[in-house]
Amino acid sequence: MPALEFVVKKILHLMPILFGFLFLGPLVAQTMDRLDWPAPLGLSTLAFGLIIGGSWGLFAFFRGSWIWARP
Amino acid sequence: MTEAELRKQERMIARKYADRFPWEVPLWGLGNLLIWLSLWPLVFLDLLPLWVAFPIACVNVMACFLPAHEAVHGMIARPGQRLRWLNELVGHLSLLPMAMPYRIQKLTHFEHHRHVNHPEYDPDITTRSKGPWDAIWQSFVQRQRGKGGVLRGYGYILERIGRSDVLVDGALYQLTFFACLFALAWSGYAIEAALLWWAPRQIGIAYIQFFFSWAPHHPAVEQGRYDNAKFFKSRVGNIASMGMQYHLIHHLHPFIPLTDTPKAFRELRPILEARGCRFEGDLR
Repeated sequence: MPALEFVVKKILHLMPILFGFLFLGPLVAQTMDRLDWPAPLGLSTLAFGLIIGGSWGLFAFFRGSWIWARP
Repeated sequence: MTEAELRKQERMIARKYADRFPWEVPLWGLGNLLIWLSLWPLVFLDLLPLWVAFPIACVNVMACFLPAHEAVHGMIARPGQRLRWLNELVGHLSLLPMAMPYRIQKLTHFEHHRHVNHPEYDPDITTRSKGPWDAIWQSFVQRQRGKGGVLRGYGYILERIGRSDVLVDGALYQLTFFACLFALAWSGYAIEAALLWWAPRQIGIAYIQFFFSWAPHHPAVEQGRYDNAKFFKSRVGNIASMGMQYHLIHHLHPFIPLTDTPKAFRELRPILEARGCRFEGDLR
């Protein structure tokens, strides 16, 4: 199933970006909501979370590491 | 004692411990999984606070590896035996909190046994590090994608032994794990997903790599049968160090159940000393 393999590989390759937007974004937003922290610049907590999570995900994708150091 | 006498005596003692049915392994593996699974409804229904569930989930991930490891070695039942299905069931299910495919674990672990501390062929050589703090740091660094992909070390080993087909399991496990996290996050349960699965998994993997791989093999240079691992006295005790104080017993005789390795060690000790094994601390 070369087509399926291609799709799976592509998704896994892009996983840091997906993880940043689809998990870290809502995680940041929901943590801020629970702590009653307002987002800066009049943004919603979700928009702020997506900026933080998405940026970190993009960093991890291009750097190959979430923590700067890499093998 | 001559070489032949040492070998004969060692084999006789080891055999005494090899035939017991390890009832604690299925109980531990499946019980641990049930506890971890039960945390989800308990937290979602507000029956258990998240700050209590989080450390329990961490312990669940830390504890999920060893029953699967026992299953890898056919400790419950070897191929062809009546309870082989239970052996494989425990292997597959107990690793779920770690989101680790059993088949990948099995194949790479056998390569670890075949090539302990070999710089190219031992899949666990990535845990080699300068000291305990570096070992923890390296656990996180080595899990980064780098330039070769997440399953870099294991993928290379599986390709080398002609079993890259099982990488499909790794892809499916990863896709499912991340899909669950994303679905939970967008349903309003991101914090629960982070503290019941994602963070416990990160912490648990570091703990397992530290005690299961780094501590007994450090400095991970010697490759001989009697010196590829050491006996050591752990500051946190035998249970909290995953029973790995006696890890060399497992490498010498992989069919001895984990919970019997201390007894086997005490009986084998004179032979192990004669063999020049490494001992660190006053291990009894």
